[in-house]
Amino acid sequence: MAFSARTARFLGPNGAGKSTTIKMLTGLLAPTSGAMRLLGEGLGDPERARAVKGRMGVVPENLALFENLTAREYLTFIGRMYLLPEATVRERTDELLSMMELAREEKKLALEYSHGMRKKLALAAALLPNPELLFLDEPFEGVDAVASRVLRDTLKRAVERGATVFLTSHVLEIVEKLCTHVGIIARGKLVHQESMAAVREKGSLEERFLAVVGADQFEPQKLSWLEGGR
Amino acid sequence: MKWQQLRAILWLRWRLTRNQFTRAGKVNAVLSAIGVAAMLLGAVAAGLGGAVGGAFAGAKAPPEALLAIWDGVVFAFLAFWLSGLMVEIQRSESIDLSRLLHLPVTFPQVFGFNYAASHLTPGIVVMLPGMLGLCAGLVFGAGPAMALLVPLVLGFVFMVTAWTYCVRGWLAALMVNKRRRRAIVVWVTIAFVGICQLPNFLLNSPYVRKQMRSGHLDRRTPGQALPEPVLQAHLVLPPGWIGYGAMALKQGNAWPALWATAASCLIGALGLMRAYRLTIRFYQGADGRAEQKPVAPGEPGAPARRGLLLVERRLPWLPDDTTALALATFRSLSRAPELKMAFIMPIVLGLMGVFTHFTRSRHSWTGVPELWTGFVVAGVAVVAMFSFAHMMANMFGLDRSGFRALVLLPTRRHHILLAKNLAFLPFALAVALAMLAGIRFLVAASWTTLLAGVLQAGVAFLLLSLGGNLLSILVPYRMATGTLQASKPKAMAILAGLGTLLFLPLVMLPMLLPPALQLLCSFFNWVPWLPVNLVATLGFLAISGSLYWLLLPMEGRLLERREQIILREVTEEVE
Repeated sequence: MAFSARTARFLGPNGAGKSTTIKMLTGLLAPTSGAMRLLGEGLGDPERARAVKGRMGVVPENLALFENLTAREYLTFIGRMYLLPEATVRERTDELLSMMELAREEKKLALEYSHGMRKKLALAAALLPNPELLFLDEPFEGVDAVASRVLRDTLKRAVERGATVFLTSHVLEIVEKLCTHVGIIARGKLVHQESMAAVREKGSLEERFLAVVGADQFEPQKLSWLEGGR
Repeated sequence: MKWQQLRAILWLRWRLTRNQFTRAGKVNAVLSAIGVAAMLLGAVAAGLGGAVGGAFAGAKAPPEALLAIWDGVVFAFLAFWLSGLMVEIQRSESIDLSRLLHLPVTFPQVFGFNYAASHLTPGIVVMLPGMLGLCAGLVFGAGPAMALLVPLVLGFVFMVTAWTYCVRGWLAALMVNKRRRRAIVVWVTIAFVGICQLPNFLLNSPYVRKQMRSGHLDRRTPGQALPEPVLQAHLVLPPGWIGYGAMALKQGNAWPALWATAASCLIGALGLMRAYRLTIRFYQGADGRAEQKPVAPGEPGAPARRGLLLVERRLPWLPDDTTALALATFRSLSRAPELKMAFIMPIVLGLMGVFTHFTRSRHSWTGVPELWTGFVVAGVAVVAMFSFAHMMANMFGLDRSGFRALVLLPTRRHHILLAKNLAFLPFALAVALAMLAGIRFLVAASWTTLLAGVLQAGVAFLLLSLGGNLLSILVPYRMATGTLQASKPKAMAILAGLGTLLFLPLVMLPMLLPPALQLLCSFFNWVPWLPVNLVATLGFLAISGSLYWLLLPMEGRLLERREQIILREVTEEVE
């Protein structure tokens, strides 16, 4: 699979292996076999894999926050770990906290945040180093409509500047507007891959997805007690 | 509540407990089964032992001996109960009322059931049969009047459990705020240690010692075996009521036991009523949460910045990423309740030791010969470092899901290890300095010995860091939030805990060499002008520092190879 300067979306039923793929690509999980390349570099060599990590931002499935740090402390820490200049870290932290509406809650520790706020903080951390490649696992889950809109626009701007965004999501409508390419995974295998333009020519993304995973042929399920029986 | 619902809730409690143990691996399940069997056997043994002992004591022992026996039993019960309460407070999952209230049951029913279920603790299961057995034995040995002890014991247990339930409810309401919850866990633990040390403080306080010397505490009425103040204390303090009641019953006076039973039941009922009111208030939303200050429209979202954050600062001679991680970890640790406990407890215990020393014999040194003080000081330096051994041997477990961020970072792995070690250094040094300052009051250590002690703390820290890094990489385990307890530990995690206890003292053995050299030189009168302990410690510091710099990159490579395995072990199971 290869994407560049695009927004690629990974679709698949629950348990298909979307998050597992992202974990392997980002170094959170070791693959049992095969080889991976990202940004033109093979990930087999630890030194190169580390260099690639410096060029990407990640929001993993269960986030990666330090519970005992405030939002500002966490973002400052991330910025410094990516070796950004001090002024840049401060400037970007201010902007991100403001954009994600976390500025008023910046004195709270991450452990005190709601799920949505934690997700926003993780997104802010992923965007902070201005990465060439962004891996986002369910970025819109638990995020309110306003932040979702802001995030979509931000991702679009990142793509326009040459970044590649690789994300998984269950919200078809949002992603239909955002993505340029889509890959469909089922039982751990990439079963389909095409551009969104090609998908639109043949109908909606939902129809295409159901057709590819074979779910369109299933009988609608019924509950006996809702159909008049007990 | 219908019987079917009650059965369902009982099943839920049993199932939660069972799953907690069985899902943590076979070894843990077997250990738990052994623990439960031991508890049940202990209950039977306590009941039988109590009955036999009671029959013997009832027939032979004087009334004052019964008071002493019951005091011991009550003390054991309270200690058992309090330690169980500590575990309960730290445990995150219990049957929370809010998880049941959406079901078709009433609030008082759920409250009542939850209170009843709170009695299913080792403290009650083991101790209550023992106490009732003792009552039965006393009835057999000293006559039927002793049967009045049964309602007294049950009333006392009711009083303790009702007020405990009330305090737990109050704490639970406070703990809704996660940040506050962790502070409460820390302070409850410290309060527990303080309460346990209270008799020590009281008995060694200058006032009590003065009273004892003047004979005030030993005054007694004719024919009375116990001093008057002791009897008065038993009348005033509820834990003394059972003992006093038993003594009076043996003397043929039933009134104290009857009054104590009535008072215990009344106090218990008040506690339960208060618990109910607190719970109602909590579920009606009046849980003491501070209202959020409304933000005026147009007010800027970001508050004004004040100075540099700690994580923005720089440390000399260190790469920027190492500094950032060291400072962030330090900041995080300084807010972690686990570390506060490790940090505060040695200091509290040290202060208690100093207090005890001063109150016992003012301004006098203990009889440790000067030549041996080097060993004492080295021992103190090592013990100070050991306060953190448990955490440093599972550093990534302490990060919990934060370790995922470390794996994602483009940072050299030995920089991560270095930063983690540096983050612990200020805490470890603070404890070492406090304890060494404390030891200055207890032994006649010279200033060079104390200086050597500070350096020995540095050596111990370097060795502990190397050992801790290795254990963190090789045997990481998941820890429950806010505690140092292994979460659903595997057999390997249990072995790792034991290994930490066995392996790290071995690493520390070389620490005894400098004072041993000093002793040897003094024995043969070699270089009497040279502070051998200090010089040898400086040499050890240089050696251990070199060893650290040599081995750290190797440990970094090992971390790189194993970071995905570590991640799987230390992060939550939902993945």
